[in-house]
Amino acid sequence: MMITEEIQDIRQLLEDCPDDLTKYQTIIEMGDDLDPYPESYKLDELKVSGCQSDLWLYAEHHGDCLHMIATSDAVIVRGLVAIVFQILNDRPRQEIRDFDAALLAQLGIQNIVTPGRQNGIGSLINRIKLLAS
Amino acid sequence: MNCRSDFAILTDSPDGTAYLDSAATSLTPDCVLEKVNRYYRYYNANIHRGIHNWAEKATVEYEAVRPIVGDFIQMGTTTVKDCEIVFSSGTTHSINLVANSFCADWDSDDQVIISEAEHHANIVPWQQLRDRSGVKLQVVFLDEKGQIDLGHLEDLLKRGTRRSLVATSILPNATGILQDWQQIGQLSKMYDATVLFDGAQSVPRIQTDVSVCDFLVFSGHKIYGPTGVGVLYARQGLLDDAPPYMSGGDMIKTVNFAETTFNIMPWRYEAGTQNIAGVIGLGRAIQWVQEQGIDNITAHEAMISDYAQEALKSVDRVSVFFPDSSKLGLIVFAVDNAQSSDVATLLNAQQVAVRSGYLCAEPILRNRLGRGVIRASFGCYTTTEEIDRLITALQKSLQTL
Ligand SMILES: Cc1ncc(COP(=O)(O)O)c(C=O)c1O
Repeated sequence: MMITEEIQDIRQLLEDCPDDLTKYQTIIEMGDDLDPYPESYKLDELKVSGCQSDLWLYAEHHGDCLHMIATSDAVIVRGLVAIVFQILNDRPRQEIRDFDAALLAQLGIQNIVTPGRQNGIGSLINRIKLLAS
Repeated sequence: MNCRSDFAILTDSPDGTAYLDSAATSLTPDCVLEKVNRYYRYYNANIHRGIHNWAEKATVEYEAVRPIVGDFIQMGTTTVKDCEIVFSSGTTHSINLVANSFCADWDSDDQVIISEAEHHANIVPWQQLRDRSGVKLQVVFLDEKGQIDLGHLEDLLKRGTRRSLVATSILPNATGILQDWQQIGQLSKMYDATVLFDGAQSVPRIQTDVSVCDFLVFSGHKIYGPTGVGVLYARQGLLDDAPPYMSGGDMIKTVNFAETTFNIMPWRYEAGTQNIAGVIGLGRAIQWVQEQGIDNITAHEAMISDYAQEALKSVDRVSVFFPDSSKLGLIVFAVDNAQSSDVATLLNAQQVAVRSGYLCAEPILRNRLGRGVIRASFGCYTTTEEIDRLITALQKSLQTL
């Protein structure tokens, strides 16, 4: 699927939620499906700063693509990571580098994912782009 | 209390927020907004300088706030003098001013004693003083009830070599447990220590006076006043000759390129154009508090705090910080197996506004709990219905977390 299609899919899923609380519940459930993150990778240099909670991100180059795993002690952050991963994980690095973070606005959850909010999504995207270069 | 109608933000609020973050900043009653507005609308001029009517009016309004503050924090018949009231930008600024000016010549023979429960604003300026000048920085512990351990305090005071400053919060923002400040002050005085009380949380909630302290600091924005303004009460004689912390216009008597003669108290420490509208608004806020009656506010917040603490204790997985001590104005709690920012986010999704994390008091929360917390805090406008909404929203959130 294309990046824009993934975004539309997630948008649809969230749009169907009747209220904010349900939206968060859906996001949290998405986080349940994140791949396991080994304890031994919870290193300071893998920490993404900018959130009230801790967020670790580890990435490897698989050929041209970037493969990532991540976790957080906050389940909402885990859910947001799952959203970002659904959009970007295992994509060609060039595509990730070219990704326009402003597209996240199309998710329709600006109040949740706007860069600059305390949950650190802005720093996460920046780190992913760095790892893709 | 019945003051909600004084707050447009409460009566007009379209989103129905239950605002439970008043310890971070309190809401502002309409009369304060109006007072600030009037300054900008009718006599928006700089103070102390201009010879024209607006400047004169602004100066009079600004200076009139000193006796309002003095009257509010005085004890018995010893009046607080205008020259003892310095306006600052807030508690943080006031503490930094004392650390830099009053303690300017302190060194390794002197000590500063703070408590375990201080806000970063009452920790970091002293650490910097220590790093700059070698002053000893001591930390007095809390007992199992969350009170400053007076025996420990006395030990530290006894060991002090030359000068001691005891700088503690009367009502710490990380515990909500009112300290026995009179005892702390008297004990410190027995050892000739100088006493600074951080009244950021206490001045808005209990009759706080300067009978047993030398410095009292607080912020306007926590006592129903504007942001960016605060008070430093400094007992006469303590700061009269100290080197000013900031320098510039208005704090000088004469300037030539060889030297400057500094102004007298309190203007000596009010360098540059002050937050004129803020000070004027603060005066109105204090008057508003007096109109409500500070004792009524204390009683109301004690009632709300008891109610909230009992209700929170009955929620599964919730552990209240110092559950056996009564609280005033705020309750700090953690939820088993849930991260504090997750809880706060889900509460916010249900229009309940609380604070989460380390509350700018990282040492005590890291040492005692090892994790971030959630804080619900109250003002004189807080209702039991809002606490009920907190509990319902919390229970709903915990089904997900
Ligand atoms: C006990 C205490 N001290 C100091 C401060 C700092 O106040 P301000 O940020 O207004 O300078 C606060 C505010 O959070 C506080 O609660």
